[in-house]
Amino acid sequence: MKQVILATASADCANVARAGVEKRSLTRLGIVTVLLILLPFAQPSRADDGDGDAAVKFSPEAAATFNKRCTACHTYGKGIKVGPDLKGVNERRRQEWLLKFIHASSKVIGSGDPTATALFAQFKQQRMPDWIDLSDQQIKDILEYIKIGGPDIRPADERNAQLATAEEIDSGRKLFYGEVPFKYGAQACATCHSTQGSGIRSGSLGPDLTGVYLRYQDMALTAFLRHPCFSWQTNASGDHYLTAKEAFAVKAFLRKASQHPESAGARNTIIQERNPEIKKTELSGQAPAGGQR
Amino acid sequence: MKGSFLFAIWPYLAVGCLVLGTGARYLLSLRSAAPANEASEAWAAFGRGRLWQAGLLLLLAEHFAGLIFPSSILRWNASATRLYLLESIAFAAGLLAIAGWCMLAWRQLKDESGSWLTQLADSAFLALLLVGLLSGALLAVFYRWGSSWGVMTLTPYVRSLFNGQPTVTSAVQMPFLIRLHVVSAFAALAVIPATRLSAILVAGLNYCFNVMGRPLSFAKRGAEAWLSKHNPAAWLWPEED
Repeated sequence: MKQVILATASADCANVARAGVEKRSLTRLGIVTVLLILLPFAQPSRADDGDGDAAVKFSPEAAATFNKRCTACHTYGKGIKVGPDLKGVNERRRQEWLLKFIHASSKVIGSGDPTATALFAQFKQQRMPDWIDLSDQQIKDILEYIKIGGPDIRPADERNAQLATAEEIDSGRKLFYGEVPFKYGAQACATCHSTQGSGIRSGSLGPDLTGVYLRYQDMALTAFLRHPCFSWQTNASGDHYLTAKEAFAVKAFLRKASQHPESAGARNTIIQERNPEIKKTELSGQAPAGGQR
Repeated sequence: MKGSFLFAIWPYLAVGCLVLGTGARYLLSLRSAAPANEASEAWAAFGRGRLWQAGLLLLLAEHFAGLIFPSSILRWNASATRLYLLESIAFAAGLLAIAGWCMLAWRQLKDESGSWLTQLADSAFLALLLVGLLSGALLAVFYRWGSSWGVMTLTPYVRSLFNGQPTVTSAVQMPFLIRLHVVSAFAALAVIPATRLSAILVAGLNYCFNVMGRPLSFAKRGAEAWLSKHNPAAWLWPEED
């Protein structure tokens, strides 16, 4: 009898313990599931910001100051205007001298500095304004901007999409579909747009962008990608929308999308819009009626 | 012009109708003997039904979340799985609300209480509600992922309405279904004071005023007790005693 009671009690305990284990397992499974859902939410990966080693770095403020204050009298690589050509000025003069001269050219000329006096004589005794309001750092930034190419610097997004590598196209695809977020929080293009064969993940509020590269071509698309689609974007403003590298990658992806075999229909429509004289049969690769072209 | 009226002026007119109309109904209710009965009748007419309540609450919660936490919604939607989850819940809530609406409309058809004017207003409100619900469900089908594009286009629009400087650019460029959804929602708000549903708002106002009035009446009673105990007149003019 005692043994029966003990056996029953131990079976009950085992059942209770098993139920406890099952309950704990379910709880843990629930926690793990929630964490798995929330983990990417809490730590979104970041896109390459386009400020990597390969990108040319310069202060936009320096470029703006250069355009505002220097270009009225100086050129960059186009010869003498009112003052000397500034291309290579960092190699011709020492930085300390340039700092002094830009801050107060009249004082340097007055001090009898031979270089300053020679320049004063060479440029018809036209004295450069004293830019006393510019700090040393601002002048250094302008000199750095001139050193790395000045107005000849071309933003990364102006590269033709034909030159994109497979890696850049793939990066554009990831950005388009939101697999990698944009640096400044702009929304993935696929929130509203799709491309041929993109499936249900793409939104359908905006137009299909399969043929957009053919329709607008490289330059217009570059200009378009510099501005937000909407006036309101999370953490994004007009100055910080897409990085040049991101914009180029998206452009490259859209070019690739326009060449997708399934997008032939859209491509032909655009080509026909541009050249109404081309017949549909010619676009589809069939010989026109009569067999003569 | 039409766009700026529908999206810049109409929302304010609709909210104005709701506020002024509810205020007027509240003032009228002060003369009425049984405002509580009206509220319970209104609840029976409009608030009953699990499907209806669940669907409507979920839909409202999702709309308010998009309005108040747009960045969080976008972060949530960054993962395709979570986007599908949110959209599925929202769509299911929409379908539940439509099913609930059908039951509500059936009850309304059988209900012959109230004046013809109230019945007309109730029917108009229900019709506008159906337009809002159907356009919402259809736009979810035809314009995928509204929880993402909505917070980028419609949230700033609604927020601009709150700021008193409506920015209608994004709203007027939306497809017809989305514009219909927005305009019908405001129209439904405008009609509420004429419906029996306003009795619930009036009861809510009554409750709020009662709660707000409690400290005042408490202070009044305290002041009266203090004045009767320390009569300032006796202190100011002792010779008159």
